[in-house]
Amino acid sequence: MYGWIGKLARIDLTKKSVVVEDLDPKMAEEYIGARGLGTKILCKEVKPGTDPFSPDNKLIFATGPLTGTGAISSGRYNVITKSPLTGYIAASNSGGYFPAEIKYAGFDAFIFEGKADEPVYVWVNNGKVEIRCAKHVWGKDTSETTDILVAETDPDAKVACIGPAGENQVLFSCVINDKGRAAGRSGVGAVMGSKNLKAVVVRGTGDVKISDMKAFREAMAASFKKIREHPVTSQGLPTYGTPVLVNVVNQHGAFPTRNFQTGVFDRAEKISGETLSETLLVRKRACFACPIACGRPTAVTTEKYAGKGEGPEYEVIWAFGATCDIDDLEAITKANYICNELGIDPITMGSTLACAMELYEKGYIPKDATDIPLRFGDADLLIEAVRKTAYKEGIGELLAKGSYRLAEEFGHPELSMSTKKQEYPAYDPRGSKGIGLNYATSNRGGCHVRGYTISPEMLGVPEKLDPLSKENKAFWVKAFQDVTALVDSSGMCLFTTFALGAPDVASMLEPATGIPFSTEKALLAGERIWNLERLYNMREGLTKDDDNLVPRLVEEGMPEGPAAGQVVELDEMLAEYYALRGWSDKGEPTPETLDRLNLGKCKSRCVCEEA
Amino acid sequence: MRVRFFFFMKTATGVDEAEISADLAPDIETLVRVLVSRFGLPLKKELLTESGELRKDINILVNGRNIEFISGTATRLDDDDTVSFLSAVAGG
Repeated sequence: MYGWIGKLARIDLTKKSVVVEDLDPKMAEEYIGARGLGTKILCKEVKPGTDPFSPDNKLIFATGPLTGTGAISSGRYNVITKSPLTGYIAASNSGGYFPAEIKYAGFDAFIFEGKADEPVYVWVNNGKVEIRCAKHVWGKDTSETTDILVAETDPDAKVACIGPAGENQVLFSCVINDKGRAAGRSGVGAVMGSKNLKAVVVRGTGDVKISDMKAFREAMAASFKKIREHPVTSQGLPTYGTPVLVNVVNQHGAFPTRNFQTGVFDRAEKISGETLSETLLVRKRACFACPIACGRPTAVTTEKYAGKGEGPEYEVIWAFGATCDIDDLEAITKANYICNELGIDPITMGSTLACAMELYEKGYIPKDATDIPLRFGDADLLIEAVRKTAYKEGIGELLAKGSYRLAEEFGHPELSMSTKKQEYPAYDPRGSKGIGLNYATSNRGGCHVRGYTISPEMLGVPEKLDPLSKENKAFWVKAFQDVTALVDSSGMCLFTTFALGAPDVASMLEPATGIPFSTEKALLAGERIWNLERLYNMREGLTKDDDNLVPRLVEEGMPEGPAAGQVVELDEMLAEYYALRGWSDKGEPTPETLDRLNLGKCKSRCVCEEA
Repeated sequence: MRVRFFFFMKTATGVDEAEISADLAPDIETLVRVLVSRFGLPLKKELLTESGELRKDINILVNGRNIEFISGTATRLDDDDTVSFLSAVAGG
């Protein structure tokens, strides 16, 4: 095959066996790779109702056909599994250099099955797959684990691993690769921990075959030109990275503060991207084949929070900052380092803390129910809370379940800022209506990178949309969701989509794979993937009632700022969205839609594994 | 009124913000002219195209609302307004 390697490694951790299989070309063409391919495999191979922590759940590491090809920002892979946080599909995306190495080692994807009887890691070296003992790294943080495993395998090996949080099955633990890049959300690290799989170490010196190199280079050159000429990808992201959004979003009055109690943070300057650049930033860092280089290695020299590492990104600054009412950038940065080392999703961590703070301040968490006071604004609390969560100590035992289960435990689930039990990221939908519809319909729960309507609503890219209007938002959400599914499945980074669209992705897919990919066909694949994720979730019990937003966002008007008085008119947007998707008013794809997407075998929610 | 500069605008002006009277700049179009006059070529390059039109990739907010959804460059200004100049800088 071209683009794809054409090989999958099925690794049974119970039997300690490895089978190398051919990638089905039809499946590859229809589901592209990475997120799409992993979703298809999960649907086919994991039975409905499977406990996410059961050996019967599968953990899939999947690359796309463009991963490792040198196409722009083509250093991505996805980790796909059934999420222990949401109970629905998890597809978490990461960059760095580990993903391309999977291809160079001779594989498109790894399918991890069963459960090892003791901690193991998997060593993949140029087509050979070996299951090795990992007792000596169990309990260690992600950087130390990486160093040890590189030392005992190959100095050029790339490592993806879990930290103590994943080992302890914290419901929002992540998989960290290349020391600081994260497949971050939905608890994919916890599933890895449940399988006693500490790490995957990969080394490859192979290549990715390209069908038509001349046409591929031409397509790449055209795309590079667009990236170089677009202000976001040529100047904004390279110069400031994602933290620059602090001021943008706060200026719009949509920067969630004190657990979404307001959208204006009066000390935003203290935690802004500009402040980060002037104080803690060390340099810029790029992932594989990426001209954007949005990575932000930092260092803190103040003794109390001393350390160095990757980030924080915008989302983390918010999660440990405004929503916890904290304005200490060094404390926020240190908490981010610890999340990376212990393997925790900082978005859910920060949001869960903010929820705990509101529950505590309102008296719903009794003072004697927690070993640490959970007060808004307490920067010293951050680090202790993250550690306690990773090791499930004291109140950490409850924090480790995420905000929904925590708030439910204390009788107030409405104070969890989440949909489908996954926490919202750093945009208040009352100040950006499209992102609200996206949160409500995202197949993995509260998430911004499934349909990033912030781009038109706040950045004016590709055109300016009124963030406070509900008009036409259903169209944009659907369009962004489908393009994102395509890009995520191709192996490219979503950040390219500020400058590139589906035609550009298709223009690289075709010469890379040798398979005709019109723009329409590529977009149809994105839509197919979105619908298959939906079908998977329906199979696991999802109904239209799960396409919701918390009461605070749809009933309580924003108290102040540019979005004052606004609520999200979700029901109206949702009806329009279902109609555009070709779904019934119950939110289920109609038979006609399934036929159009070649998902015709999925006419019942119970048989989508046969698709 | 309070005029705030972010990112490349801040670099171009060398300041975080400026105080401008609404008498001097009663609307956005006039305000842009006043600012270009005060801060010179670096800000002009950030704000205007070579043909002198407002660049499409910048966002001007009046009290947090994009002028696109008020009255564009004809948006009226008062002394108690806050005007923010933002580049289309990043996503996250």
